[in-house]
Amino acid sequence: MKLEGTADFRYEPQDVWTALHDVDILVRTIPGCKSMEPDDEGGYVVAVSLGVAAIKGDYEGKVRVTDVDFPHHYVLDGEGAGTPGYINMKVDCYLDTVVDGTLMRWSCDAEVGGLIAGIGGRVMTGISKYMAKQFFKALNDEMKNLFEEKKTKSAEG
Amino acid sequence: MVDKQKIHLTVNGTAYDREIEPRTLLSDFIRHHLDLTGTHVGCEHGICGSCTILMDGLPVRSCLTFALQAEGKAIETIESLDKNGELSPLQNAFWENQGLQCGFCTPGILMSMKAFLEDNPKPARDEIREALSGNLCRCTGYHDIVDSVVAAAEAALSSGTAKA
Amino acid sequence: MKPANFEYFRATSIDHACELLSAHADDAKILAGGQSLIAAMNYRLARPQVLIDISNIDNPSQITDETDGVRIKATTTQAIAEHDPVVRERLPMLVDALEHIAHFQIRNKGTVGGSIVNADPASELPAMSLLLDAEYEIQSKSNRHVMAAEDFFITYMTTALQSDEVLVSILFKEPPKNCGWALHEVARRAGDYALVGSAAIIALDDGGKCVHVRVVLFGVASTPVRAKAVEELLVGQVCSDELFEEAAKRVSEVVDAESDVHVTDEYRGNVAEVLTVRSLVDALNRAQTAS
Repeated sequence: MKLEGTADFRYEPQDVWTALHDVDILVRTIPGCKSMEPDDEGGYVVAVSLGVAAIKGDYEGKVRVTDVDFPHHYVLDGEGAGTPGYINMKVDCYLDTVVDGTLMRWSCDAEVGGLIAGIGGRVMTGISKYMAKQFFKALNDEMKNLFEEKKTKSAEG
Repeated sequence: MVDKQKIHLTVNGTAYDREIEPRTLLSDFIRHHLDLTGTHVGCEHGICGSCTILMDGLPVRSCLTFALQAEGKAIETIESLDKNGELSPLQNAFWENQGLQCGFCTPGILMSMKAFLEDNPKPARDEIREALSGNLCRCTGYHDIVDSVVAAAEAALSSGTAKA
Repeated sequence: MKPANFEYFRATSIDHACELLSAHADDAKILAGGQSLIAAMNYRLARPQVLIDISNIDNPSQITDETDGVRIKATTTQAIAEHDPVVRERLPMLVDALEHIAHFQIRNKGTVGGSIVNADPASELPAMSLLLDAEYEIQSKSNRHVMAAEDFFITYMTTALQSDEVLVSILFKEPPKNCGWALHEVARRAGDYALVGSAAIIALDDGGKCVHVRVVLFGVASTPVRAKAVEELLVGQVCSDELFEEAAKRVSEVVDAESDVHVTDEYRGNVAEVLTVRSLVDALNRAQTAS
């Protein structure tokens, strides 16, 4: 399954990068994320619990960031499994400077197996897009808190 | 193995208490547990209308109802229409106007039309056709069924009662 | 064609249903009217381990007249909503849509909330929710919140409702007074799911300019869709058949139709455009008569 999309941010690429690599922020913004702990291999162990009907269940997996070119490009490698099935994915992320902030372009190549593979490509695509939308909306809200608070504080100081 | 559950309901005026598997459809409960085989089962997904019965006076698909959902309710089936072998005016109208051929769809059509005529005692032919759209008949071409419903409505009105 | 077995619980209230759902969330499904669920279970396309039946919840005041619209409890049958005097007075377009749902025997059992949660992209009530800016009241054991209909539908038969949540009520907002509306469907048989459907609302100001417009399509994508690009072209304009034809070309921006055993995707796209024009023309006529 291949998916791609874009997301707009009103902040500089290095700020977006910071947010996208902040474990606390990720735990709060990844839909259904319960925890994210560093492992021995420079990656993270992630636990996710999803409630949307067709894919509901608890998943555990590993993610790792590779091909880093700060703050322009990275690749997110992930694998996860749970009662409803398993997923292996590679997400290619580009952060480009645009007039009013950053444009993120992402493309995802995913292999899905087990029960969830029976859902069908179109439904999976719909659910994935929905989850991406939720993630980027939550991320934008987090960044607003993070950076606008900082700005207010430095203006005061 | 799922435990059986108790059910209490009234069918054609008689109260029944039974124990059934939760998955028992109301259509199968009526046919297999109560031996009332006048209710026919055609498509088993709500399209054909053969299994239509009245639940608390409203026509519903008994194949799209679990028997347990009818707990405490009053069910009427095709067996409730005649009185000691004497056809009801609605049944009689179908008899006289050849509103049936093989008869498979007829129980569902009669139960649907009984409720329909109580709501709308003087229906136009178009309204009858619309009301019949939820019952499939593969023999008659519907024309004689519409005639039968018109005749039933007229008979009910001339006898001074809206009851079909 | 018999359902697989399941454990059955009869909920006595929405709170009770939420308790049961929280205890069985991973395996349970809510049974309301069952007019889609039981059919799917008869085919064993659905095999829930546990059913929580909310169809017999004692439910007074199912339909309430509120300032900005009409609130309908999710367990209200489609037939009750269709014949309710408040709904008929304030939301005649909803009555039109309800009359298009299957047949009267199905509407006697099928519920307003069930049709929405089932989220068939070709069904009427999800589309009417978008047309009437509906808000859904959602409850779980520990939480209660309101979600806009436009955030609710994810894809085919899939909604943002979490596995421990129940849809409690729907607030359909009343459009501006003196608006006109129309609904058009193409289906294989009266009462079948629409191959393509379209609905529109138009309200005019004193000068005859369009001040409020909604255009919604169903059966043409993985969810019902609002054609905002069409609406944008009409707001502030004096409407005409030519303008409608021009605007309706923009439905292609939201149409993402699939071919199936009935018709091709191209057919769906063409019919979506034609039905959009018809809905807009009829809505305008009604608006002009009303004002």
